[in-house]
Amino acid sequence: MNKRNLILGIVLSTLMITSCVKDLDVKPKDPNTILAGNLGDDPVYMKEVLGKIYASFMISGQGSNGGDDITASDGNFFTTTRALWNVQEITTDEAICAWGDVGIADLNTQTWSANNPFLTALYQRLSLSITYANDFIKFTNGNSDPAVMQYNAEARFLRALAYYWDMDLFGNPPFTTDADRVGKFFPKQIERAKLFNYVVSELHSIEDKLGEPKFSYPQADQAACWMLLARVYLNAQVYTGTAKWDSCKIYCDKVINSGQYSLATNYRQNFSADNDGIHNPEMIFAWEQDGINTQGYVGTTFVIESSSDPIYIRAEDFHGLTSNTNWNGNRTKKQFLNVLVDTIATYGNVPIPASDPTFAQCKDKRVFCKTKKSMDIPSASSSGDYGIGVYKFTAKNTDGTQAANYNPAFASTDFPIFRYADALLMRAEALYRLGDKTNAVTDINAVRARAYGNATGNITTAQLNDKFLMNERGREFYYEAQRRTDLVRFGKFTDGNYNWVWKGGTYNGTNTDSHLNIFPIPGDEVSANPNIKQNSGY
Amino acid sequence: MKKRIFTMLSMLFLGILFAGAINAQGIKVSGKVTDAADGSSLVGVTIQEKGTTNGTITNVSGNFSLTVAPTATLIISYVGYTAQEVPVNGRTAINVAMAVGDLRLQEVVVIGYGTVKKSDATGSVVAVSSKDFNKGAITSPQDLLVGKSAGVVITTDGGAPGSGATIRVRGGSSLNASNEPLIIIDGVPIDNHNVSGSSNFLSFVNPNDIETFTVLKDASATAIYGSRASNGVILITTKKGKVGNPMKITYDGNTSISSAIEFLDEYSGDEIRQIALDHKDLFGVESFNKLGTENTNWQKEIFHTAVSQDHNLSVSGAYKILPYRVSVGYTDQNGIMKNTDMQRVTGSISLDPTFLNNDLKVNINVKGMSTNNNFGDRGALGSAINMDPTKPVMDGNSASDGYFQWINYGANLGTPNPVEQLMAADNKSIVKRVIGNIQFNYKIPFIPELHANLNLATDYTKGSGHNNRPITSPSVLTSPLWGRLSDYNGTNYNNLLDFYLNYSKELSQINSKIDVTAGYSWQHFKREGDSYIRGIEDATHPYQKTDSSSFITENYLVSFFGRLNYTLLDRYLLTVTVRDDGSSRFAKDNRWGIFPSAALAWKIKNESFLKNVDVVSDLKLRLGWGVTGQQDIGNDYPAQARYITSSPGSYYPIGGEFLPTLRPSAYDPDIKWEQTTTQNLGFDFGFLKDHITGSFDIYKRVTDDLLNTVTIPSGSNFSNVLLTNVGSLENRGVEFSLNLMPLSQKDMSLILGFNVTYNKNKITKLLISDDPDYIGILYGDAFTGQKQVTRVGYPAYSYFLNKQVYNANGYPIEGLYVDLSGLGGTVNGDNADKYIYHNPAPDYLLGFSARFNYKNLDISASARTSIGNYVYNQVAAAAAYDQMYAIGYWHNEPKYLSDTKFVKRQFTSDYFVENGSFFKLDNLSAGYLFDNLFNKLSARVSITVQNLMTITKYRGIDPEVNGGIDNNFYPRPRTFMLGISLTY
Repeated sequence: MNKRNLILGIVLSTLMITSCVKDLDVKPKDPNTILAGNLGDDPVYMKEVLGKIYASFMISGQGSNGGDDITASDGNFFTTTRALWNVQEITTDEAICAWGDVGIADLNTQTWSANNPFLTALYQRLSLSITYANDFIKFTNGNSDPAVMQYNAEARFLRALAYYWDMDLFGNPPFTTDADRVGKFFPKQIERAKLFNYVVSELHSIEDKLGEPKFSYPQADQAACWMLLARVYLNAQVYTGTAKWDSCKIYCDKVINSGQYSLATNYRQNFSADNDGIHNPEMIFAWEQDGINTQGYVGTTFVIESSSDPIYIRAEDFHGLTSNTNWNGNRTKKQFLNVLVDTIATYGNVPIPASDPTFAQCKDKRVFCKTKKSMDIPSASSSGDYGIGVYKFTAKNTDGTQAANYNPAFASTDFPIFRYADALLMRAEALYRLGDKTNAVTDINAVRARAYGNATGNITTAQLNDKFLMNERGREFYYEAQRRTDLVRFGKFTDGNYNWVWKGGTYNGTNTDSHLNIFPIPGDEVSANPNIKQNSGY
Repeated sequence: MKKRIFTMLSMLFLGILFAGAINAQGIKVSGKVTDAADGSSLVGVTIQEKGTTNGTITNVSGNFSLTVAPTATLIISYVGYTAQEVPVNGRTAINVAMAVGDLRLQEVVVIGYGTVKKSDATGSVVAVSSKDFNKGAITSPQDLLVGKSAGVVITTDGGAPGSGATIRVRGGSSLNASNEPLIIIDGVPIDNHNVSGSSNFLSFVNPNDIETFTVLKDASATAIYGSRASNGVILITTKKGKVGNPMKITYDGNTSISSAIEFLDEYSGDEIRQIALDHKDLFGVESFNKLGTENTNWQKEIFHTAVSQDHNLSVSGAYKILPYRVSVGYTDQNGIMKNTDMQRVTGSISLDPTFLNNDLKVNINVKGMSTNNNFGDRGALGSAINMDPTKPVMDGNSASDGYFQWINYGANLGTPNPVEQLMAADNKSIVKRVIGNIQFNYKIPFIPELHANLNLATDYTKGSGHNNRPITSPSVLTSPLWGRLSDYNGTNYNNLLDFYLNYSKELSQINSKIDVTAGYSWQHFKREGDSYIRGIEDATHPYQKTDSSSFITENYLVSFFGRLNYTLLDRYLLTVTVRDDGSSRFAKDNRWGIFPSAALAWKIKNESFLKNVDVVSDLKLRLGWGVTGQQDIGNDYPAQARYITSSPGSYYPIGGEFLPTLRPSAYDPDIKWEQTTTQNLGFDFGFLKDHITGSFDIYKRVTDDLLNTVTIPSGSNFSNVLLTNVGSLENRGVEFSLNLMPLSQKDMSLILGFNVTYNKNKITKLLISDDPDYIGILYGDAFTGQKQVTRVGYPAYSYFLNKQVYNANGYPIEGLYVDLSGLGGTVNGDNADKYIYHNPAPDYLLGFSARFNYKNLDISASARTSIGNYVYNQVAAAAAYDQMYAIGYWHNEPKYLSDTKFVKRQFTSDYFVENGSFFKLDNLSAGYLFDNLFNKLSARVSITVQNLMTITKYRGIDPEVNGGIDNNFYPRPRTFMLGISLTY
């Protein structure tokens, strides 16, 4: 009897144990989690995974649900667009940052190392956006739904865009496509010129698969693809050693001839809360920002707040932002003010009078600057009270009213990537290089007429030269994260005898070594991936 | 694999099963069992007919009767007394007087799935019982054990009411996985994750209910817990009723007064006004307008003297065969920071009935707790240090309920008024927890050597709370800016089933004893929670922000385990254990891990050459080896490809509509167990009739396949870092403990305890690829720089800083560092120019305790010394003149600034790393016992001072800093306590 009970007990416990071992095959029950195997269950998932690739360029992550996309010492500092802005602007004549955070001083003075946290995060995040895109492209390849195939093309566009920045900033990044797996492996490095070919061929391949221009802002459409091709060709000589001015012109033509875009009447609209492609005829492609739905101390919120301070440019007054304001970091330098404001034409051969701190007398209406405590910046790490404040980006609407989806802490102003003005100025540069100064001047004067409100700012073919083109791009696109790329193309970023305060760490600025024209591969990456070789000079 | 192990264990058991003895008919024997010392009757004594399962226990009068064979021999045994064998010889009346046994030899320690006589323990096992606990106003169990055991380092989180502590057994064997030991309370391994709203996962245990802590340190002792044992195991046993004990009612109560020991030395309002004058070129004359006229000491404004009380009532004893203990406790603890307090009610019931002639023993334990926490706002600590002392506390500012506030807030702007910040915080939680288990121990009737054990347990914790601020309350660096409503809830579930068989037999023919245990364990952990944050909207404060999130996560552990103890000639002991653990955290192919161990002990004292040497009363050599694992990595699904949705505010428009986004999570399909291999050599010794006892252990622990979050090659996975198995580390250490009894007379005794811990941690591998130039894993943030590193060849979390250059007077020169790389350029903050300079872990820890009794007076003290722990004084590093007046607002700074005179902060200077070695007199207590006051009532009155004295060179408030970065933690108070204990 007892023995029978014991045997029965053993049998029962064996059964119980077997069923309990099955408990180990646990699946997540969290409603915020979807297993990879369930992605096909609801069509909206396709939109949401695609949306993530876009969002990965702007905001830090999934909010309180999933946290930041990368592990870094600060979530907002090290987002793609914010880090891109820093490495494209404070390394140049356009901006300097007062903050003492690790890595900022190195960017201010062009003395960065491979351990710079902004460069590390930007490099890692661009790769991450590419990995997100690879995953989505692999999942949707060959999908029978044409809508999904259009998303697939958008993901390929975003991947090409990330590779473009990789190519421009770091030269020789790791290279993965949707053919690669995800796990633990060492991606191969690609050379800059080969990457150029890849980016161009991808963009050609998806040109007809993307939506028509303006089909659904802010999603990438054919015009965005043409603009990226034009931008890549514009810099072809830097990337490959061979110029491609004619190709650049072809894709600018496509944008301009599409008839879908025009210059906004008011230049400032491009930097206001109503700058989106629905309200603004000039916006071709931008990263969405929204006070309610797409938040963060990133993108334009960062540009606005880091350029505001509690005395000279109060965010409360200038931008309608009242929460956590006035970070007092970024200003521009007097060398760039001389690019922006034609002081001789405006004020005569005298010092700029203190009575006009906002340069209101300047005829070029693209100047949104204000003198602070002094125009001079006494040290590379001087407080933000020194220098010339910039308030070009704002969280208000063009007419000064409060933004839709207003938030006191977060701007709803989208971050422009491609504007129609850029199509005109890229084409002008291509035409100039191809020897067609007349048509180049026509494009330039279209942009300048909008800036001046009339033809008084127009130039003649005689006035057109390299320096003018470089400076005109500065006047039009300052604080839009383009300056470093432009200076490198014109040979003025490092050793071109164009210097500004604290370049190279000296007050008057010095030439720096040309290896700085591309950034180092982060030390973290070189350690983690034996396939990656450091860029020369580092 | 798991099937194989189970089969193996079953076979082992079936192999040793053999038929039990047969009952014989015979005569009825009755009698009484008494205490040989005083003649009192003993209740619950086991009377067994030798060689059979036939037996009984004595009743409340000490009487028994049993029918046995006329030629039988009775075995009479009772816990704490020497067992006797009495031949019946046909007698029908047998009275027995029992003598108290040799206590040390009788001492039993709890080990995994069973107990062992302390003298037979083969592993490194330390038991600390209630008489040795730290005294004072102690509300959390961890505090009882601080400094009491070699190799166990407990660092309390600070002085906040109800705060927890970090426990490290023999250093940390993991990097990113948990370094917490496994804690088992009355047989239930508990979930060491705090539920939302709780700051101490052990707070549900009332310290007054604890009988012993048993710390299993080496792998031969812990490996039976396999995958959770790498960081040691702490078994907590609570007090129980005992068969035969009359009802005893005990009341313990105390009142205590706590106050801050010292404040940080800061500038006064007058001094700030002078600094403004002295540095007018730096701050500008317009800064003068912003200075106030007060001399407010903001630190004093946020602290106060706190009065707390604690009451505990317990009833224990035995009702017939049902031993019981019931207790209730109430704690009202007030923090020395204003508006921080905790009220806790605990209750426990313990029942230990036996049935079926003692064949079935049942233990039922239920513990419950309800705690109300008021956390206040810790941020006020930092604000009090930085708030401008020239400003008043109140100025009638209607926007902020009468408190002075700066007009604007922002990233670099005004410090919030610390008093308002603290007092307006409505940051409260309620945490309830119930943990209950029932254990059955059944002696199989036909095989008396075989016991079956079943343990069923459940552990349920619910926390809910809110962290609100009124609309008159600003805050820095949070959104929304004015006013906030924040609610959260969390629930943890933990269910357990253990089943094991134990077979124990003397094999007298071969002078051996075997003890075999084999079993199965199933445990399920589930946690869920949600939070919801929103701004307060009104006419002047429009829509601000809403954020909500929720989670559910769970994991299972299924295990098979076995242990063999073999004793030869009562001199040579062998223990072999094996555990096969399956974790749901890993993918199928990597799920199971086998964790074996073996230990040998040699009771040298029992050898003929030592047996008659009186000076040596005990000597035992222990050798142990074992492999343990780790899988507690926070993430329950690290091997599964998942997408996670974004919360509101992190949406992106697709198709003209804002949608949440779905992000693929980084995952490692090949992730597996982390394994730690431990070798241990130890001695236990006793001299002069055990007036001197102690033990000595030396160990080496090597962890391989570290569960480590490492930077991965860009493009290979869905993040820049991945939790994967990379790297190795080792800990080597020596432990020594000594107990001395210089006085042991009837009326007067003195017991001294002393323990030393030495541990060195070293990383031996870190990367997937091997790069000798790899800088290591850096720690720090964007605002204060990267200051710590985990690098191959060095201890984890070593400081990584620039080498400061000093002037002729020995003061640091601002921003000037040695260019260690020789590359020139920016040296300040550049990793290439940093070097490794000390680390936060101490080299040596010494614990001291003393207990003196003279008649009814008792005095006890405990103290600790830590040697070689270094602290980064971030409070000092944050002080700079440019911080004093930034963008229109004055801030105070600690007076360290008068030494450095830094204009800008220099966070990466090694100047701020200070030697944190300390001596702390943790507590001193004196008590007097008034016995037989009325009837059987006795009373003990005691006074205790906690945190009496600290001797250190460290310039900050307290050198005992968890993690090594001193950044304004809640200061540990000095507490005076008056206690009374009544026993009836």
